[in-house]
Amino acid sequence: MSWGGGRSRDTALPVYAWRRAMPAVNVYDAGSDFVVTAELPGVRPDQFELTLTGDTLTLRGRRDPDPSIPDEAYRRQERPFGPWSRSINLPSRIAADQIRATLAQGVLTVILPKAEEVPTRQIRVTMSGD
Amino acid sequence: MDDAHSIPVRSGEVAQSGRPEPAGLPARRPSSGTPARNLEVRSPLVDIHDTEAGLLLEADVPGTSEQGLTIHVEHNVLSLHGRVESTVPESAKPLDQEYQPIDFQRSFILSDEVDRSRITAELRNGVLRIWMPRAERGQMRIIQVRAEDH
Repeated sequence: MSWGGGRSRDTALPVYAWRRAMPAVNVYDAGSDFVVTAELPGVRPDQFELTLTGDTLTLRGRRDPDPSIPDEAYRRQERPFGPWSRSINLPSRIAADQIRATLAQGVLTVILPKAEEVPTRQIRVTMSGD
Repeated sequence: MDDAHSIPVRSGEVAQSGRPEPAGLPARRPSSGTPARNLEVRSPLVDIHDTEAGLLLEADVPGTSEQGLTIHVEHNVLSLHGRVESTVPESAKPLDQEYQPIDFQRSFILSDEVDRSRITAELRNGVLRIWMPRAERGQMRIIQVRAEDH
């Protein structure tokens, strides 16, 4: 980081950063819930949406660079920007009406309670006619 | 060492319920640049750009709170360490892990043109911003060399 020497923006870095698929997502089994976490630094709750279709949780949003900073002012640019979308297939059915999501310190945590298994009901058969 | 100091971090985080500090872990080590936990660390992605007043460094440190962040300047090296606290219960079994929720650590070499005494930092929604003002001309040390005639 020296003042002189002009622009030293590393063109290889943004490609590498992009390949790191923002956001990185982790999926956990916490017994009665599945927990999905995603790293979304600098993203506000109104800048993304979360949807559940069947067993698929989709996160979609965008992260925009500060428009007041001209490209040539960057000496280093590694952080990914632009639209992103991730879909996660959950291993079993979810109680869709009980999903909770929080965003704190740039980390999204989604708690997805597993749907209760429909209990197997035994049907008694009685003889008739005799 | 009087050339070493820590930079206080302002929090720009929107109000939310604070999580308690895990027991047994030091909240902060202002007098040391070493990590608070002896675990593997990862390097945060950063942008650095020029501003009118100097340089602005922005680092993605998701999962790090103001209390878990240490920024330290010693000589010409600025180092940052962010402790990452998991939001997932310890008993939870990972099914698919694309990232390791481990601490962040990275160091930068500062040029002489940064006024090290006026560096400030702010943390907001998992993004750390460090402002490094340009040293004013009057503050630059000029070392005079006197020729001695023999």
